[in-house]
Amino acid sequence: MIKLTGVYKKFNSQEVLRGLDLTINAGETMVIIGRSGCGKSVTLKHIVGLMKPDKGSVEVDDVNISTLPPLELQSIQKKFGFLFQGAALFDSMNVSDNISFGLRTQHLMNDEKQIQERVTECLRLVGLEGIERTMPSELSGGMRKRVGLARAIAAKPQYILYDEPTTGVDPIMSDAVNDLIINMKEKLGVTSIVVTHDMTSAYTVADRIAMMYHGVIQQVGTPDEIKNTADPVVKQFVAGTAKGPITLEDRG
Amino acid sequence: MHKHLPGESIEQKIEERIEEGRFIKFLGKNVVGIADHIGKLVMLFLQIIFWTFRRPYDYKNINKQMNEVGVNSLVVASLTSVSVGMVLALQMGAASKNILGEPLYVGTAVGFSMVKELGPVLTSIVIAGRVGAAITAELGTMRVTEQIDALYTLGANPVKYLVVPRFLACIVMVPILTIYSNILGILGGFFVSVYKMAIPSTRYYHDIVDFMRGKDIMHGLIKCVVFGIIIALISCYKGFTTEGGAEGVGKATTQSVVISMVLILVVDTFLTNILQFVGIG
Ligand SMILES: Nc1ncnc2c1ncn2[C@@H]1O[C@H](COP(=O)(O)OP(=O)(O)OP(=O)(O)O)[C@@H](O)[C@H]1O
Ligand SMILES: [Mg+2]
Repeated sequence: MIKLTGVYKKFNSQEVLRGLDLTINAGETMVIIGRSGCGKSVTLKHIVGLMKPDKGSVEVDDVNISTLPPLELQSIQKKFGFLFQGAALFDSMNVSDNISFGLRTQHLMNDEKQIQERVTECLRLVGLEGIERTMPSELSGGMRKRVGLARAIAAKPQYILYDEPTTGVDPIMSDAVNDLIINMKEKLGVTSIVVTHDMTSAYTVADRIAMMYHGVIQQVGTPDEIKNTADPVVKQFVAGTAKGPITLEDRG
Repeated sequence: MHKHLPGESIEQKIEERIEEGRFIKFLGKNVVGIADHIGKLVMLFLQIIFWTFRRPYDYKNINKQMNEVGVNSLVVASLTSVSVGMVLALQMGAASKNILGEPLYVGTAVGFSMVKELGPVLTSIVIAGRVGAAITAELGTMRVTEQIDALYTLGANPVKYLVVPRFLACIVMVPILTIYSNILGILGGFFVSVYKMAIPSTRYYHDIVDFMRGKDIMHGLIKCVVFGIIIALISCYKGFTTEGGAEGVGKATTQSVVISMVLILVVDTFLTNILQFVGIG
């Protein structure tokens, strides 16, 4: 279980998170939506301990990770797989070494053949067989995203955080990525947090959807609750209309 | 304007006060800023020490960085040191000839200058420019493209994985390259002395070995270990703290090189004093 309580975060003078509360139960898929720049990626980074809250707490399995010393934080971070918005592939390594990186550093597998099999399996899951020896700089944007996805799931983590998994990916592949997210939950019992702007994907994969607005969660609910919401802000956002309480200048 | 009106003087005083305030604020901000950086550098240094002695050792990366810092710097280090050795011999030869009528103690001048000062300082400066810049640019790019964050989420500590191999490469390779530079510099001086100034080769040789003591060599080596630490620490720190995309990487790289070079020269002055005080060289 992941629990954020009253999380505040400020960059210079810009308040991004203003007392955010959110609980993600074990085994569920939580989708986070919100305006571009409202702090979704920042929230994900707080959950894995890459950023520390100015105020408030982030608990992972009842451990407050915001006050944890580095080595203990590192052992908590091993529970996570993280797909970065920009993929963040290591550009000095080929695709195979990228995907197997976590397996090797965490000593999850020592047998080279086993590692290669896992790499091939992960690549197959994201529809990219046979590119093991390719360097990241030779890949298209959508392919990089999917290699990032393969790397995030390779170590079979307990929690997977996906930052816009379907952005830059074609519609057919998007659907496959949705299936992958659902499969991770159903077959492996993974707890997932998905940040997305793709409402179709959100409705497909989510157990619950949370909308961020002005540094807090505006509403959390099941896909049906969000679809039929009475909240004018959420209503405008999911319908995707320019007219309403959210103005264009308002970055959320 | 020249008349001293009472109102004007009050305004002037206020102006002065404001100026003072600004100055103190400016000073305060910079002092606090520098103190903050020094604190973080010390933290990084302690982390490096901690992770250096923690198994498992990353032989593959250490080996790669040793090559990068050491082997790939050979050409620049050779060119620099041979040229400096030759120039030193020419100047010393000309000076002593003007004053004393014949070129004297050329080997002594070249040998001591190279081993105690120019070998360590020039080699370190060349490496700060070549390797320090590369380290900052690489780590800075990794920072702004979130690759360093990715290391954390994959269970690898960036200090252990990225900094320790570069740090070890610098403190091992800078002294080795310095010794190599010293030898080449002295050889450069030898060629000029023997073939241009017709100094007998045995004289050049004795001018060096008759005066050079072990602690003179020690003096140079201690310095270049310290310079190696400076280069690794500054370039990794600047890389890790890079912000602001491609432009930020460019800025960080320039700053890294400038800070390392200036620091090498400044620390050299202090270190020479300290080493002489404790009787090393
Ligand atoms: N490291 C940082 N330093 C300074 N400001 C930051 C940093 N990271 C994020 N921000 C600011 O925080 C705000 C939220 O950023 P974040 O990346 O979380 O947005 P987002 O909701 O993920 O947007 P998008 O949907 O476009 O990815 C932005 O205004 C951004 O400028
Ligand atoms: Mg984002």
